[in-house]
Amino acid sequence: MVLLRFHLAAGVRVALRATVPVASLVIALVVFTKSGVAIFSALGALFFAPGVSPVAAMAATLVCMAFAGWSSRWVTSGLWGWIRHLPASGASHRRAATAGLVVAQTPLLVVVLASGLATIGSHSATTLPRLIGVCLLGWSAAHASLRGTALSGRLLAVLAGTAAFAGSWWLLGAAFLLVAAADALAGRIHPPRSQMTALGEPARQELGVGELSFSTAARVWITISLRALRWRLVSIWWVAALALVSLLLFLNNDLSPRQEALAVRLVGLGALVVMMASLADSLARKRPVWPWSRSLPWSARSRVGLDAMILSTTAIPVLSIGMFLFPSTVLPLSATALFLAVRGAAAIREPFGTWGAPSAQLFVEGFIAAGLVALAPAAALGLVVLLPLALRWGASAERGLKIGRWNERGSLTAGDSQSWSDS
Amino acid sequence: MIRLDGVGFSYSPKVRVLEDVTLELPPGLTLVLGPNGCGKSTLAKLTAGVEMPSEGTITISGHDLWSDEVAARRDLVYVPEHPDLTPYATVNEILTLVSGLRSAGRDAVDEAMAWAGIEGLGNRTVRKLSNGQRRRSVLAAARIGSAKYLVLDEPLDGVDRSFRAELLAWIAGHRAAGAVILLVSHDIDAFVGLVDRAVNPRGGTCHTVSPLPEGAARRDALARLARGEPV
Repeated sequence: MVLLRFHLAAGVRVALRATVPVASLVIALVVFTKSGVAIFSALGALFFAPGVSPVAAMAATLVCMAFAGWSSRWVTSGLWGWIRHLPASGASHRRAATAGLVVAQTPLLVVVLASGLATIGSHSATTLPRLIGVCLLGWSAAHASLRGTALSGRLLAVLAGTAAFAGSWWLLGAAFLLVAAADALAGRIHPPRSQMTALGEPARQELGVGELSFSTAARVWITISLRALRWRLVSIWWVAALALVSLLLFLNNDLSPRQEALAVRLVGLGALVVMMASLADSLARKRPVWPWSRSLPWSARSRVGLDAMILSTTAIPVLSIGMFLFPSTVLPLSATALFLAVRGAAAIREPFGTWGAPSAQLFVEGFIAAGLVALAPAAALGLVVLLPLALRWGASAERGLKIGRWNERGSLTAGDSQSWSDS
Repeated sequence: MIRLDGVGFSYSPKVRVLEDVTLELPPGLTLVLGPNGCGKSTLAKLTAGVEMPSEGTITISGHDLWSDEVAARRDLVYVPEHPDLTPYATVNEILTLVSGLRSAGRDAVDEAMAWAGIEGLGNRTVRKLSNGQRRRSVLAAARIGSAKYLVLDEPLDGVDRSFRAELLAWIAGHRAAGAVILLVSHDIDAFVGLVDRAVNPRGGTCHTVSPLPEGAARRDALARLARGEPV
């Protein structure tokens, strides 16, 4: 409790400091437009858009994260120094600092609440869960912007903030679970890189700081893969974007919303399959499964997961355009993209000769899954349920791939000066 | 302790390389000897967790290499015969990757690069390195972290004279510290004073010779094993 009070006090001081510019800005806008209600109504239209809106929720989360990130330099200042010798766990320090960051966001959260109250009369069904979700939004933003905690926990916190402010009671409930999961994943708090050198060696050893972690390794793995793919990734994005933009021609026709959604799903999923298959081939050729890396202390599952993450980046333009054209298609598209990414990561590891190339396997599996989801969006739920199993299959393929097969794929010729066939 | 229990392996259904191999590797240097194609490197790859056995289990410090992957590989170092590094990675990235997974510091990366004499190559991608530079990169990676289990496949190949002495001292240091070392080499003379036992893959199974004879008889025994003759 003492620790919590200490960090809350720091949060209050930052909030007081921030109140002056925030209040001045609001007053200036009110004076300029001569209507206070108009200002809050405009903000309400942004943050409290009618209907369930992941875009509005993401915007609110990002604004709060920016504010929390700005205030964290004061709230968390000294968190990695002298205070760590006190008898309190790293998790207690982290939670107390998060609470301090929530309090520091008070001026912004008050503005958000006021804009919500300005729109409550027009669409209360979605405004009420958002108003209740404001506290969770603040907590999630604070957690996501707290440096030195596990990346997975911070990403979950961003999701939690988006879910809390999406305007649905169900998503609000899910946000509570996501916050709990983010807290469980956060782990012990580490000083940011810039502050590590300031610590003495004994303190560094005790805190386990100065050590690079799995997230560093994951970042390196992704960097290597993206370098191997280079412009291939961007060129594939353009293909997807062009395919989806062509849909605009059809949307001008007199189609029912159901038909429009079906068209977006069909073209979106088709584009996803083509892009993912093409990228899986490039990844297998340019950054093949790398035998020596298997002797390092990471699991086959994590390697497959990282490759799936790289492949899933292809879905970004499709999901963005899908959200723009028909927001309800985003969930089935996302679920299918995740499933295809995991299957793609597994296909890279299948023995050469079974399918000929990873793309062949992905085309067959992908078009079956895409067809199902396009016609019956609920089938996407089945793909989500299959994800852990797909990851397990991928890990099993990764473990079972024999080194001889690696050379057979011609991987060594991929721009390698040591290869006899390099040109 | 590294333990292989009933391990079998084949590259294709018709070609069995190892069959029902049961081995215990205690602390000290175990030299794997034998003629070409007898399965020395395969044994090293299996022990390093790079190839998965078709049958049997391999445990390192009680952790199964394939069901408890991370814990088993935590203190494991593998130097392959061919440095099969991914072509688009820079040397710095490879060493940072290893350092991240072994929870070592950034300093460990710099020290390893200095030790291996590749300080100036940090930003160069693997495809622009010579074979010797690649070997040095792999050896630098081996130095990162606290290795207790070393699987070294022809570690002296493609290494110049000055670094060879450095490398032998590094291996001897780990042996003295109680590490388990499985070493594949055709170069008997370099290791004759360090070797504690020898393993000879022959006819699909592994024959262990321990203790080895002392003095000049030791070199003869190792030479016979290298030719695939029983001792």
